[in-house]
Amino acid sequence: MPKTLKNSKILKNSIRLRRFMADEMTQSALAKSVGVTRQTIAAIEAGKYSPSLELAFKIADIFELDLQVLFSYELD
Amino acid sequence: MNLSARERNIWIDVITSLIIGLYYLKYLLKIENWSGIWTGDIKSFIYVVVAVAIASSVLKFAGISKKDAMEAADERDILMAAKAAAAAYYTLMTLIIAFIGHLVFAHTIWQIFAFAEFLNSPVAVAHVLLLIVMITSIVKGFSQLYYYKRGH
Repeated sequence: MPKTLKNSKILKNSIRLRRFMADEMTQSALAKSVGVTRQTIAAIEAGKYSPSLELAFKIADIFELDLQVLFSYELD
Repeated sequence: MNLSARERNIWIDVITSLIIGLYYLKYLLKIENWSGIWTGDIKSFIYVVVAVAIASSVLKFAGISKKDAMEAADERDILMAAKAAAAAYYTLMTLIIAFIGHLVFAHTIWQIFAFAEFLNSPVAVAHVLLLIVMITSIVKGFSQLYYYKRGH
């Protein structure tokens, strides 16, 4: 029987940390690399916006990481 | 407040719509004769609409830097616009159905309840429909700003 997903789980990410580790990359630079606005990157970091799968893969590609390292689905 | 060019333009649009909407409402309330389209002080209303529209365009143009101008809408902008359009659609449908209900039942069920002159004046009906369009546009703008602020 499949596991039931709880609604209290949210999408978390470590983009801010990864930016810091990538020579303090700015939000604008990351936004430009993946083709979105700086406000969208800020919203993702703040957990206010869940990116599309394609955008999530693009961000992971920039940091040369697997998707599940950058994004996790955890309890709030 | 750190707004994108798109959010800034939505704010300008919403404020413009609100000013025009309120002025239009004020114009409607002054009308006494609903038989013709050139009733009331329509000239000054048109002047105000033109002036506000020009001021709004100037504000938008002045606020856009070269960098902003090159910035295309991304997936978040498209999602927020779609959510706001859905909210505006429900508003439009509710108001239109309520107004149709009024047109159909005003003579029968609540005939004592004023506004009967509306039914005999296509101009008045056109004014109400225009007001509904304005309200819908304001709802769309506010919803979009709300979704930008709240996220998801």
